[in-house]
Amino acid sequence: MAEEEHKDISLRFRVHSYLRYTDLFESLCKTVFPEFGIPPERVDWLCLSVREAVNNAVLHGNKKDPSKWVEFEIVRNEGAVLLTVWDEGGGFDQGILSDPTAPENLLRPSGRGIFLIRQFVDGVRFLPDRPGHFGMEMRVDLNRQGQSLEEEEQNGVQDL
Amino acid sequence: MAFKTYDKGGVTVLELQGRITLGGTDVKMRDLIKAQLEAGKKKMVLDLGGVSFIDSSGLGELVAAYTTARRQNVTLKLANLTKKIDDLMEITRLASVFDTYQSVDEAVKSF
Repeated sequence: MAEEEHKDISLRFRVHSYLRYTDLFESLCKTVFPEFGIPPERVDWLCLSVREAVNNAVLHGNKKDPSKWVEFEIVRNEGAVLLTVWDEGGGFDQGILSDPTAPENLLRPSGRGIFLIRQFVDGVRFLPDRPGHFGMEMRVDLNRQGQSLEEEEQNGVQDL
Repeated sequence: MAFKTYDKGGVTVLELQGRITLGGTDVKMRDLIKAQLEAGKKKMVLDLGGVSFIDSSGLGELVAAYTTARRQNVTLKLANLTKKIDDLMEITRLASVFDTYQSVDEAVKSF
C-alpha cells in the first residue's frame, strides 16, 4: 500500500520595508509555485500579483518606513495556496478603490495594483488582524472544481 | 533595463529591453522618454519587444508618458508588444488608449 504524500506547506518570511525585497519574493514564488503544480503560464501572473501586494505593503501600508516589517506567508493546503502579505499599517477604506478601467480613470498613472491582483488570483481578502497588522490574502485554487464559495465568507473578513 | 534610441524615417524609436518595475526601471523609462520630449521629438515609437515583464508601476509610467507627450503635441505609439504585455494592456483596457502595432516598421509607417 502506497504511503500517503503529505502536501501541506507553510512558509513565512519577514523583511524590513525595502522595495528591493520584492525581487526576492518573486524569485521565491518562481521556485515554489511550480512545486505546487501551478502551470508555468500562470506562475508569471501570480508572481506579478505578489509583487503588487508587497509593493503596496511597503509603499502604502508601511509608508516606506524601513523600520517596519513586511511579512509574506505561503500556505498550501489540499485545494489551494494562500498568499498573504502583512504590513504594519492601519489598512484602508476599500471604498477608495476605483475601477482603473473606467473611462474617467484610464489615464491615471496609478491605481492598477489591486485591480491586477484580482484578475490573476481566485480570491482576495483583507485581514484586519489587529491594529498595526494588516494583511492581504490572495487565494489560488489548485483545483477549481468543488471549490466552496462559502469559505470566502469565513472569519468575518471582507471579500473584494 | 537596457535601451537603444534611433531614428527611423523621421520617427524616434526607443527600444527597451528588460523589466519595467517599481523601484528603478520605471523611473529610468520615464527619464528616457522625457529626454526625447525635451529634445523636441514629435513622433515616437516605444519598441517593447524586449520587455519581458512590466508591473502596474510600469504601466502607470507608460500612461504618464502618453499624457505628457499628448500635452506637448507629440504622438507616442507602441510596437512589438509581447503576448504578456499585450494581455496586460487588454485587461487594463489601456489597449484602447495606445496605438499599438505588431512591428516597429508598421508603427513608423502609420505616422
